[in-house]
Amino acid sequence: MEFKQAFMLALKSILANKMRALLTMLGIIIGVAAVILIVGLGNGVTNKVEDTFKEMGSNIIVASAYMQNSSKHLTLEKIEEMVNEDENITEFSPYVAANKKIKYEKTEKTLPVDGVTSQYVSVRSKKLEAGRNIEYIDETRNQKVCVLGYHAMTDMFGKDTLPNEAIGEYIKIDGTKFRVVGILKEISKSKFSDEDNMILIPYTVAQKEFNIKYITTWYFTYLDKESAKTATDVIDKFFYNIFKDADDYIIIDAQSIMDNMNDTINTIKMVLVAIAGISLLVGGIGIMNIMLVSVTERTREIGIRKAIGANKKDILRQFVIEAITTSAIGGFLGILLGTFLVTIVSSAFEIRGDVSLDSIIIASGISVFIGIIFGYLPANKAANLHPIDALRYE
Amino acid sequence: MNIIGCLDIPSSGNYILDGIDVGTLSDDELSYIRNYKLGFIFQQYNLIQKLNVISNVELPLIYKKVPKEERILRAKEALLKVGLEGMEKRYPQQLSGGQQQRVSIARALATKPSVILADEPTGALDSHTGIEVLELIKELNEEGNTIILVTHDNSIAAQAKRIIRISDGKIIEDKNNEG
Repeated sequence: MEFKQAFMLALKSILANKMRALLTMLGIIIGVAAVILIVGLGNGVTNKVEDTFKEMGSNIIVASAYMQNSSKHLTLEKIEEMVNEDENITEFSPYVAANKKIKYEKTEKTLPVDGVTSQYVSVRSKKLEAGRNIEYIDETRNQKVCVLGYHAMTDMFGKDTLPNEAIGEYIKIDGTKFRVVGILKEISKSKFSDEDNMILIPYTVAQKEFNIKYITTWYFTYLDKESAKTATDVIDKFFYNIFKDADDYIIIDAQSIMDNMNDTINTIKMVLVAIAGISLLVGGIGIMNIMLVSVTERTREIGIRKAIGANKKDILRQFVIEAITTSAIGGFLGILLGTFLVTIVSSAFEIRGDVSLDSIIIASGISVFIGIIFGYLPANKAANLHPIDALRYE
Repeated sequence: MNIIGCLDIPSSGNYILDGIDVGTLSDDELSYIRNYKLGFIFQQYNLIQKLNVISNVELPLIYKKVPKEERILRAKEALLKVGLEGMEKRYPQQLSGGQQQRVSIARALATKPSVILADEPTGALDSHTGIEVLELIKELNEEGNTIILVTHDNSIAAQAKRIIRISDGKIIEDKNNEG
């Protein structure tokens, strides 16, 4: 029998029994929708992680010692020497962080204040919106100047302030006056991002003002992905030589954290997809069950078809196509439902969920495959009916 | 009847059709013979209710892998012959018993079989339509179709050219009935 004819017939018998067909498809619909949803949201979470790390800046290594006092050998000169010796490490900046009360006229807020060098802005892949960066001379002369993150500016000076208007103003950090010399470009519109809230001041000033004797945390950048490992090893060796104990410090490479997190997300995703797969299996069994019922109901029809010349293959094909049609329609509805759910959940959780073409192709492939596998047994039963017995069947 | 129709194979004895021992054939080979050499007219019409008239008539041609245009042509031709032109799109349940039986005759004719087997073709019909159907079968016979008709009704049997009487599985009479 021609494929098209068999398909039309299958469609007809599905339409003749809409409720039954829908219930039969339900397992497939739920299974496919679940797969699409999980993969889509998984991609969303991965995107979110990548965005977060992109905000942090790419190719970054953070090295941090736990003890203030034993950090006395972590001097700018020594670190500079190490960075200059190794070509894999490109830039670096000390990092002195504290949350401080910031005051401008009547506005008072607690914001993170970071003591850094001029290189910090480029280490963190930040850009200046207006004014100038912190400069070497600010560090050596302990100039009380600051560069504001974009949201730090809008927080202090009001929402509608233009970056240029803030330049030259004075804000008070812990009661000390600082002149605003630069504003950073906005990185993320999100209120939850800390990356736009910071206030940068020269590290020398931060050490003095906040009474921090030794710098414990340092930011480094490395050349490219390939040099990440070598750069991490060089820094690790340097720190080990100073502390003689790997437990006294920590070295974090953003790339490897991101890779680890993506690995974890992928593992979770696979487990969830496997669970959703069980639903597909159950759906397939549902189709098999209904197909068996259908074969029994249509025994007489099969008898007639065989009497007028249908061979086993013709009957087999008819029923397998019917099963495939059922599961394929189920799969299609599942894709629609899944895509719809991904859109809703993504917007609810503010992630960029994304229904990949892969997952759609895989889901449709699986649903057709299920049709073949679970349709074959009932179809085979139909094909092997004896025409005489089938014709006598009432 | 089922054995002549290759729907069943004999448990003992041989059935030779066109020089082939049917008892030795596989399921699919029997289907092939039914498709190419035989046409069936059943007492209960045995039409497929989900298919319309033309699809029912077309069905054996589909299994014969006849191309679509020719199928429709031959199906229409067969329907014309049984007097059902214009009823192509109707469904079996929209037809009377006599009309349904004509559809089944058209289905048997469509493949141009060597032999048409009719198993009590008038058994489910009232006497009036029964006569009509019988007339149609006779007509087809006049046109050169071989028809084997099984019946309990002597008045129907009397209209055949050759009568074989079977009682308790044994042939008790075989006579020509011409003229």
